[in-house]
Amino acid sequence: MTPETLLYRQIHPSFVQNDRPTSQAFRPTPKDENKLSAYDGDKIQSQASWEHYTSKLGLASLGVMAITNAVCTVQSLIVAADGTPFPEHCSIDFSGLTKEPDIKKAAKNLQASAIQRGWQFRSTQ
Amino acid sequence: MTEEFLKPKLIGERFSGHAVPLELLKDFAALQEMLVEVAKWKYLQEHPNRERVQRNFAKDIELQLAGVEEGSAILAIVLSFPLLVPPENAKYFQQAKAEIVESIAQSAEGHIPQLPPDYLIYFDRFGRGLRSGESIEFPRQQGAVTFNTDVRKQLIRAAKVETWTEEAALRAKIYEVNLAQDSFEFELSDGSRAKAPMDDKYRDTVLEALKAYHSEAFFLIQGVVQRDHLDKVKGFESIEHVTALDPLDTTLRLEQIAQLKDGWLDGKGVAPTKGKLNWLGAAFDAGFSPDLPLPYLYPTVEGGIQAEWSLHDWSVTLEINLETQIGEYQTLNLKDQTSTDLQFHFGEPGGWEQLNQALKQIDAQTVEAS
Repeated sequence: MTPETLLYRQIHPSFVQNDRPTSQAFRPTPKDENKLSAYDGDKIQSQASWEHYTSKLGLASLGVMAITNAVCTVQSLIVAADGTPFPEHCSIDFSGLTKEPDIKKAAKNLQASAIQRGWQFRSTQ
Repeated sequence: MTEEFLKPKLIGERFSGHAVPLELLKDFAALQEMLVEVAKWKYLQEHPNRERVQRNFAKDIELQLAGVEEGSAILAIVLSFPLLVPPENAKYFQQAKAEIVESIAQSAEGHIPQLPPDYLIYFDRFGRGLRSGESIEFPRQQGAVTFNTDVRKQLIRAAKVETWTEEAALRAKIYEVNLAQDSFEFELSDGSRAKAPMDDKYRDTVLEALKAYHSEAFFLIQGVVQRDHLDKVKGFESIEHVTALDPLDTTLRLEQIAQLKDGWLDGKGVAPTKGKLNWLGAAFDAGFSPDLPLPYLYPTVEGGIQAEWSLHDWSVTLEINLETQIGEYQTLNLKDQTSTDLQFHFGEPGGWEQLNQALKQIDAQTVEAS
């Protein structure tokens, strides 16, 4: 994984309004143990990641957005290509940010970067 | 000659300054029709040998609006007749008024109204122009009786009609136009579909809405809506306006979020309750400054709502806890990383004003920068 590696994030349909994703899509929920799941762009393409997520895992995604490994590093987030629970899986670890406002700020930065890059894959459903 | 007959008091924002919207007068025209029919019924009860009322039963009696008195707005309705003394039938109008007011009181108290369904059906037209939060207070000896949209619904249910109507504004997408039948079909945010009549005055807007169907553009359709006994929309009886909605229309977005069920986020995610979303919608309409850009709205996994604004270099979020009515507000300048964290209490006076002020500061910087 290089600093320019794209990390693909699946965006839930309820987290999109008028094509704009919420910053919540870029931070872990309380039950995620501070880790945000993503697909490792060195191992899978955006459309294939969406197909895996929706068909194989049976989860809801309106499309795929991306942030780079480098953007995460700037936010003090450590990316691990953990390969669990599937080989292309990676985790963006927020546990270095202990305060809720700092987690929200990091999410805003990831959101802004992803929006600037645009949708990497968008479902037509 | 005239005789004081009824002094209903209109209560609500629209009636402050003792003004009465003209559109509400047609409701009172329906009340007059109901009074005439109930008066005939009272006459026949007193004359059991007669099959029908006399010809010209109501000919010399007329209900007139004599004035609007101070109060919220009090309508002074009089019985008018050409002679110096009231005609004999005038007493049946007094009895009819008492029957109607008593039926409203019974319904308001959760009892079955005493008026037969044939007469209760007039409540489909009387009270149709009342909005949520508004009411009409009818004086009576045992204390005033309040007639509002909930009581009206009870009365209509007691009339056992298959459909009932109300004046409403629905947010919908238009997916089909039938030029031969002069009608169109629309889809609400819950996915239900119904039909409406077409009219020249809004034909172009309807055709524009049809073209915009696939881009998820919603339109506001205002008019008389028909509902079934379960309150489900069956269609429009008539339409007054069709207008394009702001893509960030708050009411529409909250309607969409209200469709979520528990577990909406792949098994996680609490669905916000409709009552709490209604509170937020009403509070937002009343408190949020119309000079500010509308927010994007998203559900939160805990059952709240997150509002977001992208204002030039600023990313702004407001996470609203619908239980506590407290909002966690955060601004972040994406360029220099300066930020602010504030808390607003929307259940307390001044909460919305504090939000407006905070956003205006950011918005002003945005305008200067651009």
